[in-house]
This record gives sequence, C-alpha cells and structure tokens, in this order.
Amino acid sequence: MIRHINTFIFIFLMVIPNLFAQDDIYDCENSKQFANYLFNTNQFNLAQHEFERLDFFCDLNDNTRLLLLKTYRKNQHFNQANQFFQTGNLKAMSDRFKMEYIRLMMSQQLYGEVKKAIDEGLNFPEKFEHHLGIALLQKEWEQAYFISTQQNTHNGIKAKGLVSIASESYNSKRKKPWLAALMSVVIPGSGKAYSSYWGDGFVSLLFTASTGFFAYRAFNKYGTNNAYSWIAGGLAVSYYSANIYGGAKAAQRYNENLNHRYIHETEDILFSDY
Amino acid sequence: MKLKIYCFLIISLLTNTLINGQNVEDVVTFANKQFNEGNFSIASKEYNRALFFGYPDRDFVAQRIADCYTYLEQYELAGDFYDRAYRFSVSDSMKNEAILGKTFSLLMEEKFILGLRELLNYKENPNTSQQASFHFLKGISYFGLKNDSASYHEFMKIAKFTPQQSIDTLIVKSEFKKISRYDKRYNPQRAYVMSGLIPGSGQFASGEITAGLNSMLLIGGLYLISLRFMHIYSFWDAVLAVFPWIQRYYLGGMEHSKQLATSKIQHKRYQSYIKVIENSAPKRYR
Repeated sequence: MIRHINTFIFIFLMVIPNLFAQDDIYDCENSKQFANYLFNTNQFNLAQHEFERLDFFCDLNDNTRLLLLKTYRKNQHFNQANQFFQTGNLKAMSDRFKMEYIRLMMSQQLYGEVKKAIDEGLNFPEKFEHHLGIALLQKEWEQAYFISTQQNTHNGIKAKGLVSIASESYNSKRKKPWLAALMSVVIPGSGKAYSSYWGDGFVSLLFTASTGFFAYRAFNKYGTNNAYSWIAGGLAVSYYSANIYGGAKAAQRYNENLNHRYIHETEDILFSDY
Repeated sequence: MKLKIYCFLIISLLTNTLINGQNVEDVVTFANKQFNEGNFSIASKEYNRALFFGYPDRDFVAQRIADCYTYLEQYELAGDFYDRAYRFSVSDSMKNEAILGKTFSLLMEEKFILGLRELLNYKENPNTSQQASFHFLKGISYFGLKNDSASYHEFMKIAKFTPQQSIDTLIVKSEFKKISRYDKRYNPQRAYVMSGLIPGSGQFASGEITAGLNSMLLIGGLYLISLRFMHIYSFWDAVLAVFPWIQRYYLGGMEHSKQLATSKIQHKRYQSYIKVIENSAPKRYR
C-alpha cells in the first residue's frame, strides 16, 4: 500500500510541473509558425530575422528553408540566397527550389544564367514561360516568336499572354534608321515625319530651309571671297547634316519606345506572381 | 533514501514552475519597453509575436504594430495593421484611433481621396483629441485635392478641440487668404500672354528675373537680326532666315513663363500650408 502511495506521489510530482508549465513560444515549432505568419503578412524583414534564428537554433525543413530563400529575394539580399544555390546541386533539388533559383536569377536580371540553366536541360515549372520571357526581355523578337510557335498548347494565363506579346512584337513594323536618314537627305525633316514625329519634322524642314536660303542669299550677295558667306554656308551644311543624323535617331527612338512597351508588358506578366 | 528522493522531486517541481517559458504577457511588456525607447523594429516583431500567440488585446497590439510601421515610415504595412486593429476592436474609441492611423498612412503616400474615404468610417462620440486629429487630416486631404475652401474650414475647426494648445486662427486665416490670391497673383495664362506681348515680362511677373532677362535678350537679339536682314536684303529674307529661330525661342519663352507661374503657385501654396500645418497640428502629430 505504502509503495502505491509513493508511486502516486512520485508520478504526481513529475506531472504537475508539466501541467503548469506553458508552451515556450520561442521553441522551434512555434518559431517556425511565427516566421510563416510574418512571411504571409508581407513583413519580410522581420520574417528574415526569425527564419535566420530558426536556421541557427533548429533544423530547417525544406518548406522553411524555401521561405528563408524567398525572404532573401523579397528583401533583395541576393548574395545570401545565391550562396545557398552555389553550394548545392541544382538538378537534384525539388521543383520548388529550382523555381526559386530561377526567380532569384530573374530578380537580379541575370537572364544569361537562366538561359544557361535551360540550355543545360534543367526542368522546372514555367520553363516555357521563362524561356520565352527572357527572349522578349532581351529584345530577341524573332527568337521569341520562334519559341512561341514551338508549343501548340499554352494552358496558363502567363503563357498565353507572353505568346501574344511575342506575336505582336514580331509582327510590328519597326522604322528603319537608314531609310529615315535617306529620306532626310532628300527632304529635310521627312525622316522624322516617317518616324511619327511630325512636329519635329516640320520644324527641321523650316530650320534647314531657312539656313539654306540664308546661305544662298549670302553667297549671292557677297560671293565666295567673303567669310560671312562661308559662315552662313557652314551653318546651313551643319543643320542639314545634323538633320540627317536626327532622322536616323528619331527612327531609333521610335523603335526603342515600341520595344520598351513590349518589355514592360512582359515584365508585368512574367513577374506577376513573384 | 526516500527523504532524499522527495527533496529532489520538490526542488525539481519548484524550479520547473519558476523557469517557465516566456508567456505573451512578458512579450508585450518587453515590446512596450522597446516601443517606448524608440526601438520600433524590435517592438514590431515582439508585438507580432504576441498577436500571433494569442494575446487577448488584439486591437491594442495591432494598433501598436501599425504605429511601429508608421514610425519606420513603412506606410503600406502600417495601413494593413490599422485595418486589423479596426476589425479586432470593439470600442469606438479604438476604432477611431485605427481610422486616424490609417488615414495618416494614406496621406503620407499622397492618397488623398482614399484618406477622405477612410475618414467616412469615423465613429460617433470621438474624444476631443480625436476630433482635432480628424479635422486636421481632413484639412490635409482637401489640400491635396486642391479644395482650399473645404480645407480652410477643417483647419479652422481644429482650434475648437484643442483649447490647451495655442493655435492661432489668425495665421490660418491669413495664410488661406494668401493661398486664394496666389492663383491671381501668378496667373499662368496671364504670364503666357505677357510673354507674348513683351518677351520675358511673364517671367518677371513670376519673380524670375534671370529667366526674364535671358528671354528678353534672346528674343530682342533675334528681332535686331531680323531688322538688319530687312535692311540688307528684304522683308521676306528676314522672315525666312529668322522666323524659325523666333518661332522656337519666342513660343518656348511663352510656354516657359506659364510653367514658371504654375510652379510658383505650387511652391507658394506649399509654403503657406506648411505654416498652417505647423500652427494647427494637434499634439500627436507634432
């Protein structure tokens, strides 16, 4: 009987402290949940600190490690995330880690690295979208169009959007700088007008015509032995040649604006769920 | 032997009870200390921990997190947590605090219409401090939307709710009077026409002497050149040779004087509002 009483007291004394003791909110499991909460509420700075604490004190599972890498990316602490991928074997990693690597490289605009990974046969979700997206971001319109025609079925919204940009960007008519320059040689200002800068074209025509006329009158009145005539002539020639250069530049500017529009649209689609 | 075992168990029980894990109340106490010392980053993290692990006063903690983010100038996150504080709160006073905080965050992001919309959620029976803040934020919102008369009325109401503060309504009146005159004083359209009649005069009217002189000398020089051409060659020679230049600098000068007048109005309005805000800001915004 006494032995039973002793056993009961022993068990009682062992159990009581555990009943009263509270859950330690700093333990690994709780900290992990807390870090996830911080991440999900977009408090990435705080989430990073908590994940790093977890990394030091506890064993991180894949989910938590991935979230830590994502917080590095979101906080633009790219070096820390890069280090992880440099030390690991990318091909052996799960799809989610491969995808995170791709996003990390894309966020740093290291498109060449992503291209290399694709060329080396790395398989990851949204491979088609990234392959096509990089071609568009690097202004390789023909290549982008070619990639977009490689796959007949584009199920995702992203893929559909990018394919449409690839087709539109490939088919849009760009201005030819050499043609704009040539047009400016024949009719000053027409190169700018051809590049859709009608106002600039008209002003250029006026300026070149007036300086030309000015030079003509000067030579007519003072002849070739007067410096005044040559100054006026020099001014006219410099306007005329600058206008040729301006025509070519206008065509380039038109093309750049067009290209930028496609690049922005690509970025909007490709990075929408980063 | 038995005595020894009992002693060991009793000591174990005592130490176990004493060395407990930190609870959420401790976390909030620590966070409060950090908040009061201005360590808002640490405070926000600990308040978050308390919120996540079930601290009962969720509205207070959410409000504090939002305040931390306001001090850290992360207004989007601050707005999110003011929204939470509003949802968690059951007291009208706390809800009003959340609305004021959210509006302030929106105004700092220059989202004036959203700020006004937020203030529509204001609950009845606010205390005087909240009423003063309410009118203050409303005044700023109207300023951002360029509705000066509505803004004036809001700023004038602040003094009523802040008797302990020395708010000089005369300053508010005089500054708003000035604001109402800026549009006339620096009328952009008038500056444009003036520059058309006498090049540079529009710039002079906006107080930009150097720009005015520059325009006047340039256009004047071009006029002299055209007169000289008329004398040497003919009227049409002068028109053809100088017109493109005059067209460029004359019209450019007119446009420039209009822009100068517009930016002058903006600058003056801003200066007056700074004076109004410095004079009328309730204590919490000082």
